[in-house]
Amino acid sequence: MSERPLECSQCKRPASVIYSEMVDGNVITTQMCQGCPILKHKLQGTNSNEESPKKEEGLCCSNCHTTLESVLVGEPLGCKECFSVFQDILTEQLFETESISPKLNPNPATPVPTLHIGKSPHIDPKAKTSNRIRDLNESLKKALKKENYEEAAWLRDQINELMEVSDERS
Amino acid sequence: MSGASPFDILKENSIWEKSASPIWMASSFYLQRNLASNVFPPKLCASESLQVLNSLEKTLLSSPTLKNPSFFQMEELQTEQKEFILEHFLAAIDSQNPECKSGVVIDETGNFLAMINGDDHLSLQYIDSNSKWKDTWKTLTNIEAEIGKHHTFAYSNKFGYLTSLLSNSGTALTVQAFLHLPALIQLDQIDEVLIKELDDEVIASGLTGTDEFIGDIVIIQNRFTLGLTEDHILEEIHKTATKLAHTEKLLRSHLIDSPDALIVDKISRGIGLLKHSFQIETKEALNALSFIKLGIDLKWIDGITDQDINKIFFQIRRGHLLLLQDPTLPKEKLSQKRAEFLQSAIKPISIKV
Repeated sequence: MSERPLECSQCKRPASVIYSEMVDGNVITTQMCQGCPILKHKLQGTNSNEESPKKEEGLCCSNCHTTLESVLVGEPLGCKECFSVFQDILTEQLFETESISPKLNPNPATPVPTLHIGKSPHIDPKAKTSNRIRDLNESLKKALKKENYEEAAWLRDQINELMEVSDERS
Repeated sequence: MSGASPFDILKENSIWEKSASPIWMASSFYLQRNLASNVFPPKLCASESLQVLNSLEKTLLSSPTLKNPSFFQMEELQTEQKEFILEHFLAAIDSQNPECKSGVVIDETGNFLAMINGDDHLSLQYIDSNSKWKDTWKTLTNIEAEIGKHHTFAYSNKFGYLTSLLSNSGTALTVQAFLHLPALIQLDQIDEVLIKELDDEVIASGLTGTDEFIGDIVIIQNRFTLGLTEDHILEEIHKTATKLAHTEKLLRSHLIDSPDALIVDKISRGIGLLKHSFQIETKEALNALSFIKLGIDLKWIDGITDQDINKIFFQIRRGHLLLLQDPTLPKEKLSQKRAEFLQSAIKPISIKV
C-alpha cells in the first residue's frame, strides 16, 4: 500500500511546506499547509497578524468562545453554534482536507444545495426524502450540463436508492 | 452502577468467538452524536459534563432495546479495565478534556458500547459477528432513535449531525468490516487486490490504524461521513468486504487443492513459535495465531476450533491477559505470562500436512 501523504502537523491538511529550523543546536522540521497560521507566525514573527489583518480576524463563537485561529489549526469545534459562525471556513476546510465525498461535488467552486444528504432527526422522512431527491436532481442536471458523466451516474444511483426507499414507505 | 465490573459482563462474550465466518470476522457500526443543548465535550467544564453524563446515562439505562445495560464512570475504572473495554470493542474510549466527566454503557450482549463525553457527547457502537449486518444496523438506529426521543441532537441542514471533529460530521457514521486475509497477504497479492477493489470512498487499515496488517487482519471502513447517505456507506463497505472475502476464499480453495510450501512452512513455524516461546509480544503472537487460524480453515490443523483462536486473539492482549490471569502482574512479566498462556491454549493442536 502507498504511504500516507504528508499532513500539516497543525490541521491535517496536505502539507505543502517543510519548514526546518535550528533550535538549541538541533534541526527541527515541521510540515505545514500553505495557509497555516503557524507558518505565517514563523516567517513573519509574532506581529504577523497586525501587519496583515484578516477579514475574519477576531471572529469567535459567542456560545463556547472557540476562536477563528483554533478552527484554522484544526482544533475540535466547541458547540453547535460554531458551525454557523465559521460556516464558510468549515466548508472550505472540508474541501481542502478532502473530507467530503468527491462524488457529491468534485468542484469546490460550484455551489451545492447541501453537503449532508443522509438522514436527519425530527423531520418527516417522506418530506425529507422528496427534498433530497429534488436537490439531487438539481445536481444531476448541473453534472450533465458539464458533461461530468461519472458524477451524474453516481447522482442517478443515489436518486434511485432514495426513490426505492420512498416507494417502500408508501 | 451495577455491582459487576465491565470484565464480569464482557469476559464470556468475546465478540469474534461468536464469529460465523473464518474470513469476515465481524462488522462494527459507529454513530457519533452531540446534544444541541450543551457545548461539546472538548469545551465542557466538570459540572456541565456531569450533568450531560447523568442525563445520557439515565436515557441509555432505560432503553428497551438494550439487554440489562450497565453504566461505568471512567474515573472509577482501573487502567486495565479501560484497556479491556478498548480491546473488546477495538475502540478508543478516552476523553481529551481532563475536566470532562465521562463514562461507558455496555449491555449483556457484549456487542454494544456507548461512550459518553468522549470526543462527542455520545458515541454509539454495535458490533456484528454473526453476519447479521442489516439487523445490527437496525438495532443501532433503534437505540439512537430512542435516545432522540429524550434529547435533541446537534444538527444542521448543511453539515448534518454536528461533531467536535469536523471530518466526522454529516452522517457521523463509521462502518468497519474486520477481515482475516492471510492468504492474500502472505502470497503478496493484497496490494494489488486493494488497489483494484478500494475506491475513493473506502479505505483499508490494520488493527493499529496504520497499513501494517497485524494478525493478517484488514479493516475496511468508509473514508467519508459527509456527502453520502447512510445506506450508500453501508452498501459500499458491504460490497468491498464481500469482494475481498471472496478473493481470499478462492485463494484458500487453491491452497486446499495444492498446498503451497511457503504457507505450510509458515503455519508449522507459527505453531512452533507459540508452543516453545518463553516470552512473546502481542504482535508476534497475533501473527503466529493468524497462521493457525488459516490452518484450521484449510483443514490442516486439528484439536482447536476457529472460534477458540478468535477468543485467544483477544485473550493475549494486555488488558485481557491481566484481568484473566493476574491483575497484579508486573509489566516485565507480561510477555512471559502471555507465552505461558499460549502454550497451554494451543497444546491440543496437531498439524496434518
